[in-house]
Amino acid sequence: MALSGGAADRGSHSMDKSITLPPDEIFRNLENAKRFAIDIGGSLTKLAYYSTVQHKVAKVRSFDHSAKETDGDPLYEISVQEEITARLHFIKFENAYIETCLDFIKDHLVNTETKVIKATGGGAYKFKDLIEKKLKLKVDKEDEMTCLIKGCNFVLKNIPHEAFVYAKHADSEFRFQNTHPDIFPYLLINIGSGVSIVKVEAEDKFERIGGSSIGGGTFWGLGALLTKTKRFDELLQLASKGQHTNVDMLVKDIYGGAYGSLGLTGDLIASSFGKSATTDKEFSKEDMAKSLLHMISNDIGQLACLYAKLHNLTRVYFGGFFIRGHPVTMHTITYSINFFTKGEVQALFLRHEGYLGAIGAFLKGAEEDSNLTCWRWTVWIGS
Amino acid sequence: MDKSITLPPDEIFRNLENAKRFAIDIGGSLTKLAYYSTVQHKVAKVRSFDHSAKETEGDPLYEISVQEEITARLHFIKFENAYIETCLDFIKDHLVNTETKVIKATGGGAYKFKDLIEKKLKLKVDKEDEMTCLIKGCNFVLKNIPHEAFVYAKHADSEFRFQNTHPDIFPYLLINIGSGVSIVKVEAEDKFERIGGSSIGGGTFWGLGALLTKTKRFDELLQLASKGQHTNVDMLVKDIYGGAYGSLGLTGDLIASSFGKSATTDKEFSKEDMAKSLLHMISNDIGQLACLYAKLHNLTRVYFGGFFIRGHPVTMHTITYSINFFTKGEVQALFLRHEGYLGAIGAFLKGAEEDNPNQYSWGENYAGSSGLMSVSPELNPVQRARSGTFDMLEMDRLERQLVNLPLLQDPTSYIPDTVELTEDALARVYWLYCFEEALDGVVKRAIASQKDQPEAVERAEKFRQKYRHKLQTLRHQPFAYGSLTVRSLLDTREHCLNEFNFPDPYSKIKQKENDMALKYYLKVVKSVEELSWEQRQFTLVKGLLAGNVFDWGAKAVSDVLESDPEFGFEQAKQQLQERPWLVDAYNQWIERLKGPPHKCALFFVDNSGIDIILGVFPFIRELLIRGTEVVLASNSGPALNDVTNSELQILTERIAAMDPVIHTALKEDRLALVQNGSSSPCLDLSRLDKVLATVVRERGTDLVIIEGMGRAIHTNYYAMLSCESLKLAVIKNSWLAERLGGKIFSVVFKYEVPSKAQG
Repeated sequence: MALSGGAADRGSHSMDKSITLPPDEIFRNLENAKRFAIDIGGSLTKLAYYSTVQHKVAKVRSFDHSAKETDGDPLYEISVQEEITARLHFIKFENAYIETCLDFIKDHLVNTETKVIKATGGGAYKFKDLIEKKLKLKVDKEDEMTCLIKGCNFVLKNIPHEAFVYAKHADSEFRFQNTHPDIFPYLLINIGSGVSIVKVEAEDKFERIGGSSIGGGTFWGLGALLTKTKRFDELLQLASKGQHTNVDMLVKDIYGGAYGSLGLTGDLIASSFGKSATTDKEFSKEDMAKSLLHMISNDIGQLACLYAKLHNLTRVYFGGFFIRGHPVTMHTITYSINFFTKGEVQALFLRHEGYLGAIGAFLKGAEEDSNLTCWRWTVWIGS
Repeated sequence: MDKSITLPPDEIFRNLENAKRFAIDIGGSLTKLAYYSTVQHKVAKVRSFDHSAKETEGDPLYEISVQEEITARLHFIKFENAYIETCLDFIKDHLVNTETKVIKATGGGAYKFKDLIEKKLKLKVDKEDEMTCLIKGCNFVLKNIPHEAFVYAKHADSEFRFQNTHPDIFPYLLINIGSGVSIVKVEAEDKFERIGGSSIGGGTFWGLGALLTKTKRFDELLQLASKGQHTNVDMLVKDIYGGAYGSLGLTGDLIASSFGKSATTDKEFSKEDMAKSLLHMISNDIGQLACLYAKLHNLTRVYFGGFFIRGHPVTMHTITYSINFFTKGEVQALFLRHEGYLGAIGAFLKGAEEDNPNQYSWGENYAGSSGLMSVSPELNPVQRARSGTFDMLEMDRLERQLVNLPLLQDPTSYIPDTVELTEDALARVYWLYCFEEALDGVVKRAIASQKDQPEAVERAEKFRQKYRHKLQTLRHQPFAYGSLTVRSLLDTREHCLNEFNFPDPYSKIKQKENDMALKYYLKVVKSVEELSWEQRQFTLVKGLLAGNVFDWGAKAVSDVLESDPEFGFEQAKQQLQERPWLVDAYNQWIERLKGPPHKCALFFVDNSGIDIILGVFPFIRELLIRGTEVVLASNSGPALNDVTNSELQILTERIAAMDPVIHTALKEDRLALVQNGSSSPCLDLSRLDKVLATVVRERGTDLVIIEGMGRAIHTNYYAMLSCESLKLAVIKNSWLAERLGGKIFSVVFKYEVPSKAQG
């Protein structure tokens, strides 16, 4: 029942300082960076900072028309000027790079008056000392869930077409949703190591109404035990190649076909891993990974639907590292939601889902600076 | 499949010769066979002599004869699929008298074994819908078996807390955890809907468990799980946050991610730990789904069944824990004692619809049933070895339909039994000891009742063994037959006696006592008539109490009666405690009698002989004279020396012949005799003969009198009625008397008037 940052730190022992970063392209405008926030999850670190950007703008200016007009004079004057605007930067990297990154930031942090870095995520308390030592900034921990929701509200409000529906076999895999003027209420299903189900009713009003211990960590953990494959991405790769019907017991395996009177089709999974209970044969890694993926996605899908129904909510967003950018999991979750709600509820995903915690933590810090709060942001997210 | 396996088939496939109707439920590993059979057993009948003939002095009052009676019984047997061929062969060989052409079949395995069954039994396999059978069976046990459902509490004094049979069992939620999970909402006898389900079920525990631990047997996996530590494999909230996540209300020990630690740790995990983690994962998931569906459909009764649950304390515990966690205690996880038989019962009922099984009431036969979890290795290895892989349930069709007493204040909260022995270890030890001690006497009495039959000794010995074994089982597993109460111990003894053809060991004694008491009847009535009103009332009550001293069910009294048959009525009165009695509401009763007469009194009578004739009759005679109608409710079948309905009919006739008051009352139908539908020395007011309930309603009964230790102390002591009630008894057991704060022969005279608000 954890939040996004559950998974243990995969690479703290394998940090490699010799990795060369192309830092100029990544940590842009660091010289003027003012305000930092960091979200350290089980495997990924998300850094946010606010900076001023000096850039050229074309300006036009009318000539003074009270003066005598000369024929052939242009209508108005064009000039290129330097302008300073505010920009938010978000960077995501694997936890393995955290020390290298911190060193780089330290070296380039010249003009900042910042004394504090906002931190969130399950990893925040593990890396607290490292951050404080490297950056000489005080780590100020922010509640993970509050940051997540704040970030989510922020992207839903400020980024057009932030949310999308995933349809694997459609002409267009991603169907982006229009920004609703009123984003509330909605349900956020955050699938990290575990699952948190959060009902969000207003900017500052949310409640964790449910959760489950069967989440991304379970896919990863059980997957690792079953297939001896230790990497999450590889497990997803395996799953995308497997056939779950070799491992799962289907309705037709029990009844010889559909169970019509109960409305169960023959291909429905009756029992996840049911075939391995009584068969002695070896199962392929791919098949087991696929079966596991289905089991977990379907379970989360069903829970999401039940909570949505109980609380009368129709907008359900999915996030967390289990979802993040993985077509495989987006597909199985979408399938499950369609199955359980008979199409009444659509699974929605967020383009910038991975940054929610960092955005939220940043905003928490920015709230303390009244100047920033009422801005309307044009979002640039480095990716 | 091994044909050489030897079955102890006589004990298992009982009464197969007359088996009429078969049903079979073949699951993934267990087969459940159901059949309906008729059982021929002996019953004692009493018959009045023709009194028009001249009576000879010394002739007995009435004739006792033992007759063969045929009753219907349902047999259920559960065995491993490995034995199926052997069992079918055995059935084939013993199926002689059947006209059956069809066997109803259900369960996932039904289609696999169809050909085998048809070939072996020469019966046509008729497949029935599995879910329909399951629900039908569930409704049947919930309605017909008292204390079918229970709550499991691992760390409580009593692991099993049995629930009362609700008069209305609907609606409920059934969570069937087989290979997968089905969540079914049941709204009425024939109205159910599968509202949800999950693929994460027993098959997932078994399948994933087998892959993770290389352990192929389900039971062994559960064994592993019960020894493991899930915290080694699961990622807890504190593993992520260093402690609780207070603002979200998550404690540190909560599982954040099942198997979360195995995602990133390279170490080897123990089989035990993985099995435990898996068990938690699945149980919690099902628990949460169950709660959500219960909430969505507004249901509070949630029953769990399926092979994942069946008799496994480990899974019952984790499911219970999960339900408590998710509903914050608002919903209780309920389990069923005969859960494994639901499909077979349902399939059988489908086939037997023409026999209208739902029109009858059925009762569990304790003599022919294995107890709860007789096959659970964790609980009783000894018994498991003994009963092997076979488990049985037998249900007798009761002659009468049983219903609630309409005068119960709240039928849903009525509990017949005063002390629940599964929850009261001290009382349990005492009563089990007490029944074991009394066993010799019962055996002796049984033999004496059939002096003319030399093989009675052998049968009595079999009875002794069977009952002693039941007592031993109960010592180890107090919950084996649902609630354990003095009543269930008494009833089990009656079932066992009947089993070995001792239908009424007390018949001759009752006859003798009735005969003797009748001779004193007029004398007692006359002496009472001469008293003043106040004196008369007291004498009548004392007579009622003194009569109740004559009770063969109580060991202290049976000792005296065996050694001194002259122990008379007057002596009994002297034995009684002086007023104030242990419970003494006599003054209130007298005040009430000074008021207007009751409309109709329902009297649950107790013993034969002095009790009924010299105690009860003079007492109700006074009521009749006051203008109160009287309904005498007596047992339908024999139990100890309790007067049965057929005996009471003869006695009443004889009294009427002597006493014009009784004669007139009978003639004018102001005195009625009804049977209570029971053959127990105790009284369950929620299972009474339907006719009795009708009579009670029609006559506007406003007073209920319950007499005797069995009916007014062991049961119904706390029963709340919607009309006035009188509960009276003499405590003839010093242990019980002491417990109630008195001495042996203490008197309980409890007069209760319901408060107007509730009436």
